[in-house]
Amino acid sequence: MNTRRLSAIALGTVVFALVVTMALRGSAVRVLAQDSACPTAKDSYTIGFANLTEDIVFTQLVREGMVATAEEMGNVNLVLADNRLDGATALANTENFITQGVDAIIHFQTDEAFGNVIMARARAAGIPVFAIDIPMPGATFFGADNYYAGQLAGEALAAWVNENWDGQADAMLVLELPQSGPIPAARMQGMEEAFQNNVETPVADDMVFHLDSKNTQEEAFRVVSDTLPAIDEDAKIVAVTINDGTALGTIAAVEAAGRGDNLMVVGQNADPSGQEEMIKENSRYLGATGYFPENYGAQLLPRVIDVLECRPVPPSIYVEHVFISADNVCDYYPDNWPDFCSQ
Amino acid sequence: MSNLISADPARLTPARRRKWLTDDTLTSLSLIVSFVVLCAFFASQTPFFLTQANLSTIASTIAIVGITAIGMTLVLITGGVDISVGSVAALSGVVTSLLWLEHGIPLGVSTVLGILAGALVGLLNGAIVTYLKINPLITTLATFSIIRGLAFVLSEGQTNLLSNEAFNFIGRGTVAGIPFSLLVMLALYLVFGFILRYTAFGRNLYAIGGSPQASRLAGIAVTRHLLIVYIISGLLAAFSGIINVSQLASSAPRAAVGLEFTVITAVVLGGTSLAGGKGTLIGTLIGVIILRTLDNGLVLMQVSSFYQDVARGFVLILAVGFDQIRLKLGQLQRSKGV
Amino acid sequence: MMAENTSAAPLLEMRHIHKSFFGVKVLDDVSVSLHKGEVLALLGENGAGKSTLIKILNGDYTMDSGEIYLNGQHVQFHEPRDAEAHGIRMIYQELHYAPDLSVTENLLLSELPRGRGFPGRYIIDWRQAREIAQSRLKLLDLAIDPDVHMRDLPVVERQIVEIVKALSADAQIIVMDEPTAALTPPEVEMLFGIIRNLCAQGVAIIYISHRLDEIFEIADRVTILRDGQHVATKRVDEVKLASVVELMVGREIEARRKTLALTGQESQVVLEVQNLTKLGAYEDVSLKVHAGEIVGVFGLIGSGQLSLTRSIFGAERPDSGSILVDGRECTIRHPQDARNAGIGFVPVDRKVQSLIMGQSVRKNVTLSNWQRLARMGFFQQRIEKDHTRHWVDSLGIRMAGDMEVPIRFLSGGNQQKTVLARWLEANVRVLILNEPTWGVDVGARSDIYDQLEALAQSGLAILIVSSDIQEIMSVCPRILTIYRGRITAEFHRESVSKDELLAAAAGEAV
Repeated sequence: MNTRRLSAIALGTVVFALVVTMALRGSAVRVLAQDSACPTAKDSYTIGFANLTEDIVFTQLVREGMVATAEEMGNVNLVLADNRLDGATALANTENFITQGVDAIIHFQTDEAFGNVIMARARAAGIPVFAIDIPMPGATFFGADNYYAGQLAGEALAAWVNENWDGQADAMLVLELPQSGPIPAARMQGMEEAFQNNVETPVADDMVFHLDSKNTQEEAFRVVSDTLPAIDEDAKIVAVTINDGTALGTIAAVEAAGRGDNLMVVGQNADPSGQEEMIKENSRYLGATGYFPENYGAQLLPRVIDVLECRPVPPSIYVEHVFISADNVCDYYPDNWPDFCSQ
Repeated sequence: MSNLISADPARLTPARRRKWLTDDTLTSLSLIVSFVVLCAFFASQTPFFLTQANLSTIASTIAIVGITAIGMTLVLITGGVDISVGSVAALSGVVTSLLWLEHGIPLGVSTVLGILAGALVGLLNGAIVTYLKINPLITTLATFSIIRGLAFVLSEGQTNLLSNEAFNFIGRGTVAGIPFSLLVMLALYLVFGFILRYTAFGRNLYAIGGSPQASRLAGIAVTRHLLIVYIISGLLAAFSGIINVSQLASSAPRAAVGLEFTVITAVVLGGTSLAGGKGTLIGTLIGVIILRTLDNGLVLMQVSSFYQDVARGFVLILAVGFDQIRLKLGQLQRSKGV
Repeated sequence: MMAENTSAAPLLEMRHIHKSFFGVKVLDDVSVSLHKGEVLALLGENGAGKSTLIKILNGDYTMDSGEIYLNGQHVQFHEPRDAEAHGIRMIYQELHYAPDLSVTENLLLSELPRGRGFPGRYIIDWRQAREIAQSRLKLLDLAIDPDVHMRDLPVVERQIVEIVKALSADAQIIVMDEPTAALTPPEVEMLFGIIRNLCAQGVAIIYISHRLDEIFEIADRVTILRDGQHVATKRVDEVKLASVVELMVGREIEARRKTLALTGQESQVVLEVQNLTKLGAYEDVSLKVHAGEIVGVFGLIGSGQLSLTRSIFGAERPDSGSILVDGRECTIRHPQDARNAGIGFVPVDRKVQSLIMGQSVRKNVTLSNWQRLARMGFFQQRIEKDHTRHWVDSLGIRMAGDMEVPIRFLSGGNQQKTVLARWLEANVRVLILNEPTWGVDVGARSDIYDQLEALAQSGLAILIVSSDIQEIMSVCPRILTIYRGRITAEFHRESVSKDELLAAAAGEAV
């Protein structure tokens, strides 16, 4: 009790002294004062951003959003790197960032095993780290709320089935990605549980097929094709999928078997190819949860500055998710589909 | 003095003349037996395996690996290998969709150009292998990476949706209830099977793979043959890429990832030697069918996908290992006969 | 079978051929002539210039100066194709054929008959192909099935198919490089039948072989090269085997002046081989080596001695027979077993088979001897260095620097001593050496001989296999001769002449 009061008094005195000096000495002193309160604060910042990979649309959008936000903010100089889906590369990038004297590091890297090493290096150099989508120990997390993102899609699919198929589907395809660990698993669980909990008649357990999409359209096409013979010819089928590509493969397989009318699919990401599929006439793609990778920069960079200027920031910052479908795609991406949105 | 030999013909090539029961035939026969065993196993495990719906699923999803495997068989017979086929398949799809969607070139023309892009890659492979004398594995490993990268660059990493009824027919259409892609594949097997068996070009491929020196000394234009073989491999891989795009109704730069390994597995399963000089298309066809059936059956049995990978590896080792043991035994018998 | 027209103009003349590589004279004014229908044996030790001469004839190498006349006409060959166009064919020791294709296809490799018109001219006429193949085989009265795959033929028949292939396009001269290296005695006879048949049809043969006895059986004349120079050309019926060997080696073979009293006969038998047989390589071989004894096995190259020693060391599997160490029978299936039984083996080609050329003397000495250098499972570099220094000192290994210098910088003799050191480090009881001074200069030779004798005196049993008669006579008190895979005689050094030894090694009755 005593020590807390003491420190409160001490802090109060310091603040009082600061305010008084600031008032007396004017702006030149203000900078000095700010320095002593927050050693990392500066006029402009160099921030290292190492992207997951440059090979996929999602991460390209993340990078573009970062660059645009940095330009807008004016006082941020962004240093870019590519982690190439590889932990060792991420570590090398970290060391490069440290050499280049960055003020903060934003890491989008996949290898959890390297998280500790990367964090140790950054901690030794006194540089704060922000981890996108894949947590690292001691880094501020920024990214998807995976289970919730899954839930949004599952609820939307259940609502559609309740409305159009009298609340009952006969079979459920779950196109997952086991090789990539807990993050996609949380999304899949969110979708599957939200659908079963919200649909009027849940799909029987033995008619729920868990399939490994291997994250490619072909593989989704192949495993769905191979599974269809085990499902009655006129059965109503719902599918929850890990991303748009997998959704496209699933739809292609069911349509190729001539059973497209009895299918409805939801997915994750809502990237342009997924959006294009949703807005087709009589589309079998109901929609997908949006992650808005293009907004990552706008949401994250101000928080990085907050940390550098010693303002409080929560340990985890979540992206705002929205379920994108043909109904609202024009609200979010009007420029992507001018013809469709002008109707 | 010539009597020395003719007087005792039995000393030469003792009684082991089998006209039709060659090693190749035996390999095919043992593969067919494996296939029947496999089918019996799946039929006993899942009631859906022997349904008409499932058989037509297998039939309609076999062409991509099947057609690419033809080119791979030719390349392996010459003692080479083509790792770039998956990348080529992706490239042809990307080229076709870009020409059509973004440049407004008629879909038929775009498709042909997409396939020609694959032939061009094949030409590049062949030229590096023959003129720069770089090992085929290294050469195609390099183009594997270059071409995949090019597909990403051209498409900017985007997936493009293609829906056109005529185009969709390539991968999804049926003629008299038989998948069109399957018919094309079988026709290609007939044509290339004939070429390998009955034309000088085909036989020269075996000679080149069996002994490049002997072929060169005998005056076979080794370089030209290799160029043509790699072009064929590129062409067929590109065509498979088109079928893939047609089936998925979309093209992606990540398409056909890992196709090369599936195809090499099927071809080796079919008795083609990685050392060159040996292999048949009938064997390859059976290999492709076995592999497709295996994947299908395991999915129907709802086996975890990780175990599916394990099973695929085991089948390869079992089939090839069995064949090797059989060949060894045969040789042992022969050497004792001398 | 000597061609009757020896006096007529020769079919081939190579005159005053000179060739140097990097300033080293490989061929120095060599002249050779060849007549229609004759077999000319080309003899010489390794490095004498035989293969260079042949490659010049074949157009593989260009000569620095000299001329080649074919049928009296001056010819120039720039590449193998030119030589082939003039009817000169090579049959290499290493055969070039497609193993999984039929005899027919291998014979007609680039000239399979086809139909006419379109598409006929692209399609093979298999029936005709078979007939052509059969007719070519019939030229030599051969009963080889043209439909059989090459892989399924015995080696000799593959060789014969190669000969038929060489014949197919009007061959005048066929060069055969060690054609019998992989053949069994009856197969050699079969090949000789073919050669005689060819000669009767007017083809001339240049025959290269290390098996001198074959030369006397098949050749009409011999041309002997030594150190790139033409030494002699003689009719086979005018020379004796011993004088041919002397011409090849180029020196009188003198016994080593030192005569050691040590024979070791009275001491204990360490290595005993009983009735060891491997078909096609050696037959019914029995021998004993006592502690402290050096036994030599002398034979011409290719007499089966290599296979024999490899079998004792477990690198090859014999068909029958047994191997005893210290009177106990050992099952040796693998070199590891031989090591454990206390047998060490120094192969001919140390560069490929026993040394790691890029690594230091130290690592080469202790290679595969790591157990002895470890304490409680931990490898001790200090012990390793001590042991290596011991052997370097006691064997007199002269290094270009310290023991960390890569072994490829050492001379042949010192490399050989390093191999010895490794086996001594492994504590072997028996040491088998195959051509121990191959590629070792003369000075280091006697050094190695001294070392071997010292090792024998310390109780090691040593078996030396060599085709160098001088080596055998100078270092081995007891000598066995091997001919076509059989031990033909046993001698004591003091009571045998080199002629007797050579005769026994050439299979002549003793």
